[in-house]
Amino acid sequence: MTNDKSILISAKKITKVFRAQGSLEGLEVLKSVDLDVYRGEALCIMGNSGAGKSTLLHILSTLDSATIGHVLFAGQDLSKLSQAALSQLRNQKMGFVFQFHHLLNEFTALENVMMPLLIAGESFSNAARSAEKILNDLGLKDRKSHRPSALSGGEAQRVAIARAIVREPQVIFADEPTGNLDQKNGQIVQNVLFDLNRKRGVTLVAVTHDFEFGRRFPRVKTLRDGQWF
Amino acid sequence: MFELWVISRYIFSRRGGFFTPVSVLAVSGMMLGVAALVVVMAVVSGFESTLRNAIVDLVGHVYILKRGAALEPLEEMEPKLKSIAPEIRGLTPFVYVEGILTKDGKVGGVAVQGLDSVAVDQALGVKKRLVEGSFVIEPDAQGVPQAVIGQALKRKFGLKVGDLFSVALPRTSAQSSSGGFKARVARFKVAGVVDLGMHDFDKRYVLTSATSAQNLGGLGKRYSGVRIRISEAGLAQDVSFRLSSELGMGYVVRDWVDSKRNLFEALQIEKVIIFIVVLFITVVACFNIASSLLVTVLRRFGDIGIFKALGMPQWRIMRLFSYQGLALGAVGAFGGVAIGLLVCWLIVSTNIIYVPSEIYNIDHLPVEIRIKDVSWIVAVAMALCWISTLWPAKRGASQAVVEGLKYDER
Repeated sequence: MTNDKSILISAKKITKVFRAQGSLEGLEVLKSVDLDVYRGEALCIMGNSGAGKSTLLHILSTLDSATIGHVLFAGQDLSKLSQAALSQLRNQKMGFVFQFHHLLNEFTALENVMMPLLIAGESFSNAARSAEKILNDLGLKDRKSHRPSALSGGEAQRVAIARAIVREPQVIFADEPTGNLDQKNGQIVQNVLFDLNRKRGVTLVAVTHDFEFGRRFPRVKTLRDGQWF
Repeated sequence: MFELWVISRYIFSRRGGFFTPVSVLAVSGMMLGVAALVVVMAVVSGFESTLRNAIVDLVGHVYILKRGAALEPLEEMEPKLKSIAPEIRGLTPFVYVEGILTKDGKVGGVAVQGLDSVAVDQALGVKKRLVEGSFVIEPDAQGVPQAVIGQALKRKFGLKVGDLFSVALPRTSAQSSSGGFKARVARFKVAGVVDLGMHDFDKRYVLTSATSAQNLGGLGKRYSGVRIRISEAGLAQDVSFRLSSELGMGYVVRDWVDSKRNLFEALQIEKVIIFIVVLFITVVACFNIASSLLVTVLRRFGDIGIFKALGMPQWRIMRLFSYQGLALGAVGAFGGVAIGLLVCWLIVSTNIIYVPSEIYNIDHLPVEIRIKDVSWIVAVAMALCWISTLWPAKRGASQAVVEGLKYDER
């Protein structure tokens, strides 16, 4: 759902070529792709495996860079930012949910959720208070002291969502967030993400090849062989 | 703070923590290197201190000899010397003559030092070195001069407490029928035996009263010089220089280092060389720590990707792994110090290592642990360790986010 029509992220002529080490020939995964993401909208990028949807998501979210083309975030050209500035941008304004939960095994659910706040320089007590509130909101009150290995797949993914939103980001990038979950847990995760989009106005950019999940988005774009279909 | 919190978890993790075989081996290597340095430095320092104490106890921190004329009475000299060097804590006059000891057909050169039995404690520490008999240097009831001798001298001549021996002093004489020499001979009774701490001293020195030495040397009431104790051995060169400048050409002023200057200078150079050579063990250990850290970094590729995705900048990730390497190094360095101190304690308490005194001047391996030496060892080991962690830490920090996340999915 689009709350206002201002552009948050704008990708211009994005081309991505992967080259094997020592090889001159490359694999062109994205071919001059344009995309505008509006503030507060929920956008789904769909496509078959190898279509380039995850690569595009990584480029939009500063986790990777384009071979050609550039991305503007809130009007700021990301190619002109230093690595430190990109790190700060990710920490302050972006949240990530991946197919695999990517939680840190040596830390409890609560500590994992505290991480973005601690990286930002928050005190341990403040970070713990904020993280605990979000875990409670997501129904994980009883799981906060558990390590990732002691959580179910759905719980781990919800902890990952809690970690993604604890800094109240402007946008959440979700890369196949339900890909590793059964139908029931998949539904729970989907509902959480859409609630965040609707109730908090967080922009949601998701990548999936799951039609059922994709159908719930107001705007869906499909990639095929590195180009919009 | 955040980085320390993270590494505190990593350290006790089964995944690339402290207790993996690679880390344990690396830390053990560091411990051995540091322990070797601690022991070697303690032994060299101990050797240096043993020699210094032996010299200072026998000749004082500083000593003054008078050229030609007789030395002024001590009552006159003392205020003058103290005004030049307020560091002076005590003085004792002494007589020094060299002669030949004869006993049952055996002959050997000796140095006879005549001391004031009361004032001797103010400047010298020979009394505390007594190992047999008593420190009596005044003539006995029958008027026989008594002497305290070094223990090597005792062994060499087979002397016992109560034995008599003769010391002859060759003097040139025109009236002599034996080619211009006329011996002045005195008999001494062994009252005690001292361990002077250095074989050179032990085999040569005969300590007696100033009067007995003056009689032997035919010096009348003249003293050879004054032995001086000052507040700190390290100030001896400075005090000696000031006294020499102020007293002028009529006096010779020497400090304890002058007695064995070449040896002490060689020791200083040796200490530095030994430190550098043994340090190579620590350098090799640091390479092991670097490789152990590299293994940790490789195993943490996933975590690095996560931290980067969450917005942790590259330099902080580098710092994170650098701290982990330093923590390994700190365990190695402080563990090594503990092992080194234990070995030093064993050396001292068991006295198990025999040293031939004829060669090394001492008969046991001396040990002295100096805080300054240990601090240097720890500082250098930690600095080397920190340098060795930089490359693995940089390698980890510069890894692409997406690659790290892919690694975490395995």
